[in-house]
Amino acid sequence: MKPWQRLLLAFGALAVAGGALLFIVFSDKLAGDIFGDENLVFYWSPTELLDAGEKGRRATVRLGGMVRPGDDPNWDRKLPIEFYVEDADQRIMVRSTGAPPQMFREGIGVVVEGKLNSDGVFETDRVMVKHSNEYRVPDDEAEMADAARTLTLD
Amino acid sequence: MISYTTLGHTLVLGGLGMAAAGSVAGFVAGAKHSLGGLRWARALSVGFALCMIVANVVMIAALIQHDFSVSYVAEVGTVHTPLHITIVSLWASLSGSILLWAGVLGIYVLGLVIAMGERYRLYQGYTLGVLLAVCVMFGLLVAGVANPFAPTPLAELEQMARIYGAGPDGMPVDGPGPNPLLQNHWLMILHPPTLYLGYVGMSLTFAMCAAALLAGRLDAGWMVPLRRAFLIPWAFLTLGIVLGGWWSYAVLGWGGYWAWDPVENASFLPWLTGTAFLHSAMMTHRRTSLKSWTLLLGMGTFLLTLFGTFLTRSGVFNSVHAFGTGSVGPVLLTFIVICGVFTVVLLALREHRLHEGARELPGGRARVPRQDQKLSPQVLTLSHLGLWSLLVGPPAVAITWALWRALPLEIAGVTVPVWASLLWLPLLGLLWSRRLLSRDVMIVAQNAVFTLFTFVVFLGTTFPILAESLRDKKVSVGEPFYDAFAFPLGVLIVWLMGVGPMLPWGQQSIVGAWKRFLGPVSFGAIATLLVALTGVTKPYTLIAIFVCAVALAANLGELLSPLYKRIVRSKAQPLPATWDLLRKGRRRWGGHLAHYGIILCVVCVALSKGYAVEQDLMLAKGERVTFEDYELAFLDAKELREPHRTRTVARFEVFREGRSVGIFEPSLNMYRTRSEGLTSPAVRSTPTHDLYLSLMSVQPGGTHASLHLKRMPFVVWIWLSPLPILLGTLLAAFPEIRLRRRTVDVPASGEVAA
Repeated sequence: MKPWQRLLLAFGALAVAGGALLFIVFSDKLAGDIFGDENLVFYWSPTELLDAGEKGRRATVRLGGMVRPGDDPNWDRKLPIEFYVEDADQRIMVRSTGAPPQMFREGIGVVVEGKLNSDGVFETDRVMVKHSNEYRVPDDEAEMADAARTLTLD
Repeated sequence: MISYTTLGHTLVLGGLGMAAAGSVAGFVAGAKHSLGGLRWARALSVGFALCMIVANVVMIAALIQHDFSVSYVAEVGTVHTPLHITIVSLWASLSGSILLWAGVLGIYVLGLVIAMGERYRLYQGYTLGVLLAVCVMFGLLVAGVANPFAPTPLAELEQMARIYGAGPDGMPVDGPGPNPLLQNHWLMILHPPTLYLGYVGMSLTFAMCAAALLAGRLDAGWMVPLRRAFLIPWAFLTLGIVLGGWWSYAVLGWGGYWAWDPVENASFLPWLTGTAFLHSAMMTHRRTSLKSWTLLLGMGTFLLTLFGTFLTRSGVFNSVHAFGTGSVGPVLLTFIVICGVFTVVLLALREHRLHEGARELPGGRARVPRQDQKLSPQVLTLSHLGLWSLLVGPPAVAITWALWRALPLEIAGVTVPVWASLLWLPLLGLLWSRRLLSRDVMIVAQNAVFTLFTFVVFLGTTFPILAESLRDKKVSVGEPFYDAFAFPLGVLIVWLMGVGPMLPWGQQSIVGAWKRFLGPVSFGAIATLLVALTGVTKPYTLIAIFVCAVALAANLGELLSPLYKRIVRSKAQPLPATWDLLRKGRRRWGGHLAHYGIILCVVCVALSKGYAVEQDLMLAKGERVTFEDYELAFLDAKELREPHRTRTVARFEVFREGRSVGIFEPSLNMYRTRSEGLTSPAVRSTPTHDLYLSLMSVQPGGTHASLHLKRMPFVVWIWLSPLPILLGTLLAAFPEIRLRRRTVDVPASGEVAA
C-alpha cells in the first residue's frame, strides 16, 4: 500500500468509527441495545414521567423537581422518608430508603434515582439535592449568612 | 518593585516564545542532522522549563503574600487558611492548575534534556521539536484563555473590599478562599499533582514516538529511553488513580471508591492504553515487531490524557472535579483535533519507513524443541491440545456464556438469535497453533483485551456528552454497563498476567510448558478452595480469586525459580546471588512487582465489591442500633466554629462483640464559600474490613441524625496496592548502576525483559 492510500484508509476508518458513534447517539433503540435499557438513566420531570405512562414505569430514571412535605407530620424524621416531588403541573409521591442530605427541606430542588412502581409511588434509595456544583463566591454578606445557616443546629 | 502580575506574565510569555523558537530549531535540527540546531533547541527547552517553573514559584509567592491584585489570588486566596493550604491553592481552581500543568511540563522537559545529553542525535531534534510544540499549546492556554496572572478587575476588587473589608491602601483584606474540597482532606493535596505528573509526562512519550516516525527509524537504542521515559508518568498515573479513589472514599461520603464517573474514566482511559503500550513496547524492543502499533498506543495515550483534561477542565460534566468553567474547553478540543490529525497523518505517511531494512523474525515451520523429541507425535499433539484448551478454554467459555446471555438481541431491526453465540467458536481453530504457547502471543492478546476495554469505557464516557450536546438529552450510563464488561475483561487480564510470564519468548517446549503451568494452576485451585471454605461463595468473587492466585503463583515462581536454581543447585551464596539477579533482571523484577500490585488491587476490589453491606439509618439521640456485627449508639451532636468553616459533629459510640471500640465523629463541614455542606465520614479501618459512617444530616437541636453506614471487607489494601507498582517502576526505570569499572558490555543474554 502506498502512503497516501494508507492515509485515505486511516481517515476512512476514522470516519466510519465516528459515523457509528453518531448512529448510536441518534438511535435510541441502538443505544438501548448496546448499553442496556436499564443502564441508560434519563432525567425526567414529574409531568414527563407521568405522561410517558407504561414506558416510564419500567426504566430506572432520575426524577427532578421541588420537595413538598409528605402526609405524615413527622415526614422528615424517619426512614423510609415519604415526600412529594413536584413541578408546575404534577406531583409524584417518593419513598426513599436512603437518608436525604442535610440541605434537604421543603421547597428545595432534588433529584431522586429509582423507579415508579405500579401504585404510582416513586421508590428510591438515593436523594440528591440539586445545587450548582460550580464553585462560586457568595455575592454579599446576606448570602453568606444564609449559607452558614443551613448547618446550624438551632 | 515590579508586581507579581507583570513578573508572572512576562515569564509565561518568555516561556511561550522560547518554546516556539525551540520547536522550530528542533525540527530543523532533526531534518538537517545539525548539531548546532540541536544545541539551540536544547537551550531553548531549558529556557522554557525555567520560565514555567519560576512562574509557578511567583504564583506561590503571590498566594502567600495574599496579593489580591493578581486575579487568581483574588479567586482562591484567603488569609484564614493555614500556610500549606495557601500553597496548594495553586491547584484549587482552573487557571492555577493549568499553570501548574505548564510547570510540570517544564520539569519533564528539563529532565528529558538532562537525561538525553547530546546522545540520540537521530531522534532528539524531532523529539524536542514536537515536545516544544506541545509546550506552545499549553503556553498559549496559560498566557491567554486561562491566564492566572491577569490583574484583578477594579470592580471586583471594590466588591471584595465591600464584603471582606479594605485595608489602608484600599485593597481588600481577605478573599473567598480555595474550593472547600481542597481544604477538607489531605488527599486532595496529593491527588491532583500526582495525576498531573502522570498526564503531563505522556507528552514525552508522544514526542518520542513522533520523533521515531519523523526520523523513519525505531531501533532498540531508542526503545530504551522511550520505555524509561514512559514508565515514570505511568507510575504516577497509576498512583493518581488510586489516590483519587481513596479521596472519593474518604471525602465524598457515599462509601465507594469507583463509580465509573466520567472523570474517573478520564484517568482510566490513558492508563489502559498506556499499560498496553508498556507491553507492546516489550515486543517492539525484543522482537522488533508491532512497531506501528506500539507507536499508535504511545501517541494515543497522550491524546487520551488531552481528552481527560478536556473532560475535567472544560466543565462538560457537572461533576465534582469540573469546578469552574471557561473558554478552556474549545481550545483543548482544538488541541486534541490537531494532535489527533498529526498522529494519524504521521503514522500513515511514515509507518513504512520503520520496516525498511528491519530484520525479519525467523519464520517457517516450527521445529520441535529437543526436550519434546522423546514424545511420540500423537502424545505431542495431545499435550499441546490439552494445554491449549486449558489456556484458551476458560476465556472462550466465558465469552460464549456472555454472548449466550445477551442474545437474542435486536440490532438495528435485525434479530440475532441465541445460537449465533456459538458462531465465533470456529474462529478459535484459526488460533490453533503450537506457537500459541509463547509470551509473544500472550502480549498480543493482552493488547487486544486492553484495547477492547478502552473502547468500551470510551463509548460509555462519550455517549452522554454527545447525546447532550447534539440532541439536548440528559442521560447517564449506569455502572452496571461498565461492570458487565469490567468483570470478564478484568478476569482475562489477570489470567494473561499469570500465563504470560510463565511462557518464554518464542518457541516453547511443551514438556516445559506443562511443568510451568501445573504449579500455579494447582496453587490457584487450592487457594480458591481454602477461600471458599471461609465462607466466600459468590461465584464471581471466587473466579476473581482463582485467576489472581494463579497469577500470583506464576509471577512469584518466575521470580524465585532462577534464584532457587542458583542457591540450591549451584550452591551460590544467597545474598550475592539475589543481588546479581536483581541487578541483571531489573526490568523483569520490576514487572513482576507491578503485577503483584495489580493482583492485590483486583482481589481486594472483588472482595470489597462482592461483600459490601450498606444501610441508611435515622437515629434519635441516645438510640442504639445494630448493624452487621456492630452496634452503634448516637450520643449527641455539637457545632464547632472554626475560622474558615463550621462543623456539625455527631458522636457515635461503636460496639463490637459487646465491647466499645471507640467514639466516632462523622461531621458535616460548612464552608463560607459553598452553599452545601461537605460530609467528613468517620471510618474504622481494620486489616479485614472497614466500617464507614457517613453523616447525612442532623435535625435542628441535634435530636435526630441520619447516617449512611457501610461495611466493606479488605478496603485498606487497595490503597496500598500502588506501592509494589511504584517500587517495580523505580527498579525498572532507575538508571544503570555501575558498581565496577565498566568493561565490555555483555550482549542481551543477561537481560530479561519484564
